[in-house]
Amino acid sequence: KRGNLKFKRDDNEKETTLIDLGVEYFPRYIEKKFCANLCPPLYRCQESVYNLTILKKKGSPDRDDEVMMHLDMPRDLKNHYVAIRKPVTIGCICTRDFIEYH
Amino acid sequence: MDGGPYRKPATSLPPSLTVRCQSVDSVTFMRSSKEGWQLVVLIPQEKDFERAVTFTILESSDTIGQLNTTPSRNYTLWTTLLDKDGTPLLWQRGPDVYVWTNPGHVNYEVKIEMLLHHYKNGTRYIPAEFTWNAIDESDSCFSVVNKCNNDTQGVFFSDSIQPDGNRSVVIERLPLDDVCVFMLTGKYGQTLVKYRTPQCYDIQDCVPLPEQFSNVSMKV
Repeated sequence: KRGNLKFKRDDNEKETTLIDLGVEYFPRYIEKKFCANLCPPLYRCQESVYNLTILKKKGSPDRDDEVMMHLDMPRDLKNHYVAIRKPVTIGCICTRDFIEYH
Repeated sequence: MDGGPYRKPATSLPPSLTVRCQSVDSVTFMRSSKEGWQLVVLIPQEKDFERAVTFTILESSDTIGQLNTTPSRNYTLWTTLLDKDGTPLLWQRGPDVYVWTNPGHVNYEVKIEMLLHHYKNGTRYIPAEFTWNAIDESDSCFSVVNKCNNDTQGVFFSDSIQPDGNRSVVIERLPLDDVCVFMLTGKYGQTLVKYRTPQCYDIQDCVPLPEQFSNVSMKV
């Protein structure tokens, strides 16, 4: 039998932090959680991630943003913006893999 | 277009413009009165200006306009009212816009007042008013954002404060007994304020919730 144990500790998640991406992004502000790495022995701390789609004004400085090539955009947006992918941490889980032999 | 129907200007001279604030990539200006449709053109003070002219139109209900700039350039604003068919009337030279330099960081003083007398019975939130100072005359465009821990992720308040507005904002729904962050961005950079909202027993008409226990299920 194989599986894993997962649980959530409230003190393992720090407060949510606001990130200001700057005027050339929409939405301009996004939120991230940070994990405190407070998991017991044998457990590792795993971040849950969600990828947000953010618009960025064309011609604004390149900040190593990951541009989404395969995303269908309305033409009026496409003329002035590119879509970029921003991963945000949405939670922290303590997890442990195990294998049982019978 | 927004801004209501076209109204014929009473005079052919355009309302005068003043520069209200400038950032690394834009200039924000205000006109002295709301009068008809006003064309505003931003002309670089250089010889190859043809390639870089930008413009905007203030519609009947607008007082504030914004145009994009390059920080290393000087510009001049020119403006005229538009006749009903879109032809320009008299052109007037407006203020100059100078090279933008980063003024460095200064902390703003943010005052927070919890509007306890606006508490609505039976609710679990409270409105609050935030006010702040301006460092100098041209420090009049602000962006604010507020986030409380008990809000769902992805929920926060954000707004931009125009130069014709007060340096204040009211946020209607802050959760009680929570830790929040208020972030203010102005000409002199960003100031972060962390604060606590009042608990239920700090508010006169607030009735605390009964202790919540989880449901007990029994197997027979």
